[in-house]
Amino acid sequence: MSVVRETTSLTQPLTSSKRHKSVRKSSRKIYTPYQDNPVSSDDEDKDAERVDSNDPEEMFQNIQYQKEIIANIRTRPWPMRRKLKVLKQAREIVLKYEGRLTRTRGYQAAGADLLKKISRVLYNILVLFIPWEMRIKKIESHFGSGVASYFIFLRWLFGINIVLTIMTGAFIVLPELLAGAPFGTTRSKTIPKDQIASAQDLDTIWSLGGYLQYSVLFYGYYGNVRKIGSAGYRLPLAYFLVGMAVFAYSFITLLRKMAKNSRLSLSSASSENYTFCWRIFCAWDYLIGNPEAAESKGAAIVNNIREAIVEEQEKKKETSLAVLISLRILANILVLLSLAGSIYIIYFVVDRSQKLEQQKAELTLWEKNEVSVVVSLITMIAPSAFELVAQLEMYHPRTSLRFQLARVLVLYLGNLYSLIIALLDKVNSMSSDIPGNWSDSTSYLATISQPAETNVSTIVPEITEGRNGTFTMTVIDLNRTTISVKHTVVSGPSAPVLTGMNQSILYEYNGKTQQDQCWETYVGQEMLKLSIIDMIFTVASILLIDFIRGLVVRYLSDCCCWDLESKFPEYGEFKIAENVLHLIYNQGMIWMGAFFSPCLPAFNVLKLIGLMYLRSWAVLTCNVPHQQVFRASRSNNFYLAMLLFMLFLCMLPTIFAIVRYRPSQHCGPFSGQEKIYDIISETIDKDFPAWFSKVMSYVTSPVVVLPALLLLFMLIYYLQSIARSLKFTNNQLRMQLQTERTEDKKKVFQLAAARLQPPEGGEQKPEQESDITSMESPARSASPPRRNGSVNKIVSPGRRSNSIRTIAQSASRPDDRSPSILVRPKPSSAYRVFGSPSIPQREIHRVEYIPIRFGFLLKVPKMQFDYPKTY
Amino acid sequence: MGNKQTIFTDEQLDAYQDCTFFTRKEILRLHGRYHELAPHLVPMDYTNDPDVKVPLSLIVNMPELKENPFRDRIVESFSEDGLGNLSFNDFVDMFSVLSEMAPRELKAIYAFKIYDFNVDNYICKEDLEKTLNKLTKEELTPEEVNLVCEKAIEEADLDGDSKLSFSDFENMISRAPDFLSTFHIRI
Repeated sequence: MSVVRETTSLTQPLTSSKRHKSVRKSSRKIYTPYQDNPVSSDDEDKDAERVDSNDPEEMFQNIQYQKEIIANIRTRPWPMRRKLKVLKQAREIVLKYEGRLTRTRGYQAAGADLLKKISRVLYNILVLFIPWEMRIKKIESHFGSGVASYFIFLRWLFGINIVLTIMTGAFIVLPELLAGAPFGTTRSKTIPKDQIASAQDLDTIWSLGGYLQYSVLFYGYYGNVRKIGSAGYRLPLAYFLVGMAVFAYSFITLLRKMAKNSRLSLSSASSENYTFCWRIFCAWDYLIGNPEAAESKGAAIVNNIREAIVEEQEKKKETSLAVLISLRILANILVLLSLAGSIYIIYFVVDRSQKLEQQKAELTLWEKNEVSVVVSLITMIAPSAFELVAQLEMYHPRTSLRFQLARVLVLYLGNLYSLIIALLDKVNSMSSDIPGNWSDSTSYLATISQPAETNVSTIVPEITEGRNGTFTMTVIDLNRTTISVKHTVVSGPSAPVLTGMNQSILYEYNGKTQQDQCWETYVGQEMLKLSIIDMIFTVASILLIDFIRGLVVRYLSDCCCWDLESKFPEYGEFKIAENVLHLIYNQGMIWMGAFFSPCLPAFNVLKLIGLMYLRSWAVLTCNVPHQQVFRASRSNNFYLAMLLFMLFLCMLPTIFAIVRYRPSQHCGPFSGQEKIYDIISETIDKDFPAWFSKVMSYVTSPVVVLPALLLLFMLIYYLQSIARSLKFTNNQLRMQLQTERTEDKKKVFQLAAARLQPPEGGEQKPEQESDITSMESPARSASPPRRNGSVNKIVSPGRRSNSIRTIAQSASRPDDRSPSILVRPKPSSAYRVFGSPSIPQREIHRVEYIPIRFGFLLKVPKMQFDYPKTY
Repeated sequence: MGNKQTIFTDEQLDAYQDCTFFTRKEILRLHGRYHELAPHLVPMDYTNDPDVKVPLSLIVNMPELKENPFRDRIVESFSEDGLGNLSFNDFVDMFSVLSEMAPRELKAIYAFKIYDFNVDNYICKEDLEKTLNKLTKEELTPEEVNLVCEKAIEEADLDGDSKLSFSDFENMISRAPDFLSTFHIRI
């Protein structure tokens, strides 16, 4: 009996509010044979078979209700058999009645059905393409969710990079390959003569020179012809837009993912007042399926609980504060010093390489790769150094982990920034190397470029030996003599031999500087080089530090005087946090360089694939789980926040370079322009109707921009204040809940105390209850109750004499309190509700009943549950 | 997929997809796993809903559950008879609730059932002690266990009956940051 009542009252509240309307409307109800099923078929089943009237409104509601059942059935805590049955019934009803309503509704329903089916099929197909599912599962079962979160993050990054690759590949690289001027036709696509001999040497290729430098890998190769191919593809415009779209896409996906995560994590109250409970109920990672991992997890849990006990027993530890503080200061100084040192080293190396390049004609392999090797070395060594330093500080492990992360992130950022600043510095000096000064030559260039351009197209095919377009030569040579310029241009078509001679002379003079002037290519090269070297170092560190160490520990421990496995070298730990940071750093490199080297995302995709396999292999073969497991759920957004930070900071140098520097004059899609972004205004001017450019000029004028900015600021302020007020309300609600809870506690005690004195007879009951009502009323008066639908539904039919009438309360009363459930209904009805003959039994029911009601106060009313039901 | 041998009708698969968080492929894979457990018991053809149950002792040996200290309780809570004999429906249900997609509320309900060893709808001290001992493989001293249990009840018990009802439990677990990620088995 009690079971039945509890179940109905629990499943009731949410559906009942929807249902009671229709129930009230139709006083006649038709019950089916289902109801004499003992327990399992409660009101849901009856409901499914219920309404058979022809009132379209009612029918519609019923159908809606059934549809809701279908949509939410998977979130109900019923055994599968019952779910299947209810689903079948609901479907039948929907099918039966839907067509009866109107024809259009029937069609709509059919359409919706079809859509659902298609989406399901699509989803089924989509799931097939999620890579590495089993691999991650295996890792999860070995190491738990923490380590797996690294791989899931890696996979997510892989997805982003795939999209970036498609973007750059489809809109930049492919068009250039298909429709752009082929290799060797223009100056920027030709290897200079003095380099052609060594263009195929391994060390040239290795340092991304030679053929690689003059390929689609880098900015410099792309032509500046406004429209290419027969379709007139605007490559320079596409280049610029894709470069920006890469950032925009990354931002949007990142923010969306973060929003989704934060919605998922339900903003847990930061006050950790459930330390022990969480350590008991959430400690075990259900993913673990490997004996070793289970053992270490068990040990970790024991440690964790002991730690909590110790913390509980002596809330604060006493250590000599002076020593501690001085140690921490020392540690921070050390960290700062090493940060400064690393930045200085990078700057120094870049500077040195620049000087070397100027002095020597031929650089050795080391000199060419010095910069990236040094940067990679620092990124590898410094984190371990930081870890050593952190031991000085004696923080709580979690705090020290956080410090460590922050420091490593700063280090990585510092590395990238000092590198890019040094590079841009170099770019600066490059542009000042150019003979003559820019302002003069450009003004001249403007006048000459128009006639010259027409000539180039005729000249180029004729020159076979020299290959280099005359036009580009002349532009560089502008500052020497205007006569020679005109001479070359004019004489070009008529006397190729002469031009060739002329060229070779000019070439020797200008050759070196010209090639170097493509600073975008240079930056792209450095970035790609850095990425490659970083990959090599990662692979090497995995092999050396993890694999060899694992081998040594595994096989030499027998013939060594101490236990290798548990003492000194041990097995390598998988440090989740640092590895994730490394991924973030890697991604930052890609973002920084993607504009200058469109193939960088593609390279990164390959790198990530390799990393995925290598890492997962290494983890499974030679790593042990980290002792200090970084919480996966919370850290997810933490990783993403760091990634977002990285993205923003990596975007800055690119944007700065685009805005600040003048594009190289002889290479790349923007050559000949004053600024890279001029391509936009140029396109608007030339290719859009006049009104559009007019509109654009208005839109970009301060008259519009300033108010728009103001509006934005106002909007931000407004949203911020709304968020603040919501937070405030949130807090207040939480406080209210807390006080209500304590009040409830008191009331329960009172109630229990009242119950303890046994009542004389059944007649006294209502009196006592009214007593409680009056006791409670002052509390009530503060917030008047809304008593809508307190009597919703009579579940069992009246005609069955042995059934109990049950009255359930609607959950829609926000200030519903458990004691009031007992008391609120008029005494007479209350008596009927719990009208089982024996009084003691009734008491038991009530006491049981109270705590269960709390659930509705606390939870988001999303689903119904009927937990305390025995099957 | 179903060309070689029909395991389920399309209708059944649809119904399962509606009732669980799985895709078609995963349901078929689950059937495969279920079949593997007891090849002589479980038929390949499920189109006519055979009434087959696999006993607890076999299910507990799945690699996914083998190391779990609460494996017996998990299987018991999902079985319809409460003894741990799982029909295929129960089996699917179990992994659906433990899947990544299941909402927190649903997981909380079943977590409560799992930790409620004596099935009295309350997590009392006895249950907590059992939980703790299974979790730590009885490495803690009785005093420590006692202390931890008392503390845990003190923290989460809202109505002062010195045992945790479902609402207490849900309230506590809904704030736990790790619950969703750890109460999760990937199949």
